[in-house]
Amino acid sequence: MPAADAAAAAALFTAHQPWLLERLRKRLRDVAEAEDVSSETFLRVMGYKRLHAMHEPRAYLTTIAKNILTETWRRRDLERAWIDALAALPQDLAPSPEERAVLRESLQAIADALESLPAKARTAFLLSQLDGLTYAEIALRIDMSERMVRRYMADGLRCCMRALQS
Amino acid sequence: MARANAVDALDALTEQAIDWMVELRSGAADEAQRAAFQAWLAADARHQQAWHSLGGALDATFGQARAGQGRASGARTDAVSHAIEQVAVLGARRRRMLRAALGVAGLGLGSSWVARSSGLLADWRADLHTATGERKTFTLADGSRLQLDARSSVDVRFGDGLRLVQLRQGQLRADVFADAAAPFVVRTEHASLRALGAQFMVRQEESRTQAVALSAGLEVRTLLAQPEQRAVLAQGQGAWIDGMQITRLAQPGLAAAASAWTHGVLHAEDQRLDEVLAALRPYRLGYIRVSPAAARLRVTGIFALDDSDAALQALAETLPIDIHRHSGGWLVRVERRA
Repeated sequence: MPAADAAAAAALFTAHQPWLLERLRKRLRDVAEAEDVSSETFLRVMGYKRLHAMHEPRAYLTTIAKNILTETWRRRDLERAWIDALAALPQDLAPSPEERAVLRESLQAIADALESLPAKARTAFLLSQLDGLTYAEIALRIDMSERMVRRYMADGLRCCMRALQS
Repeated sequence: MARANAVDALDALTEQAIDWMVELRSGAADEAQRAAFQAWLAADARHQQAWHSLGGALDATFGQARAGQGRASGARTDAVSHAIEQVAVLGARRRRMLRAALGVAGLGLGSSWVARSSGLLADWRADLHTATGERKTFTLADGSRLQLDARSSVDVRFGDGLRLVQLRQGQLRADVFADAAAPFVVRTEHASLRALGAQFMVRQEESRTQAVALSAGLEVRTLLAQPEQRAVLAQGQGAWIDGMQITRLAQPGLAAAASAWTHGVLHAEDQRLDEVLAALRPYRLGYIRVSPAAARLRVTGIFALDDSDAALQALAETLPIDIHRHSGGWLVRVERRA
């Protein structure tokens, strides 16, 4: 980081860190998490190239902190949802430990890419990508035409491309 | 083309690649279609590029979970769909809560603001993890113990005749409960380490892994090198494993130095300054930047991990460096004295 930016970052930190930390502490009740989120917020701010041109620092800091919390909580939610989902499967259908490990590894990326798809389209796409079902089998399973299955496949593929590009 | 719920179309070449992918995954593609696809692919380098990008996007999303054709139970989809639906509901609730709690500034920030995580936050996805400045010992289901250094995380996968520990980040010391029927293996990005004796240490850095056998025997295998390489470390021996090879370490005192952190001590023997600072980082909230000229300086000494300010002070007193503290010590710059 150039010296000017480092100075701007330091000034920003001195002026607003106590404020942000206090705000997070009050809302989160968990002191350690508040400190981590506050630090992470400033670290990301330092990565921003036009730091000196920032007009409403507290608004920015709040927005970044909120994004960080959203990401962190989402990761935790996903983990919990995954455990629930596995528990809800009938015993004889449950994936093997290896399969679970492999799926869990990709769960975040899959959720990020496909969350915006309608549930039916997502299910159809996953049946092809994760379970290797043919379109005829998918059409039968979720009661739709093969033409719809093809359309959903294309939508799913577009979502994956977009996720890669973003 | 307007149609309900559809995802907006991408550029023409990508759309062609998507059409072919849809065709070939149908489970009903015949020889003529496969030949036509090969002809399309061969017709233009841009076709190959578009096809390659699409494959890359699928790999990035599904990783090893990508199925071949014909597994056909649907259970994997059920579990993943269910989890995503639930998380969408929870996410909406959380966003409302946050809006109420912090107040939304209403600013549309670009992705540059939220792009890369610094690794500062505890990794909540992992089964076991430690926060900044925290060391912790966990007892596993088989009675083995894992001690995690600060800002470290592991996943534990026991079963089917294998006790597998995946080190995601940081370092650990393993005390293994002997069980001939189920090998105890620690995996990192670069290496797979099988316990032959009871105790060993593993540290994962960005581009390499260090393993040290504290008691008799540790089998080391590379995961990235082609062809795979193997070595067995005797008690007190260690090795670096990177994408290419295994580099053995056998200096006296290696085991003591490598496990000093378990006592809250950083023991440096002729180490580069940037390595020493890297070991301090998980103990500080904030950021340490070191200039390239300072990074190469060699350090020998013993430092307290739990008081990283004192450790920095001690470094400043023994090396030709200047340490600049900004923002109450949150940002530290280390530079070679001119």
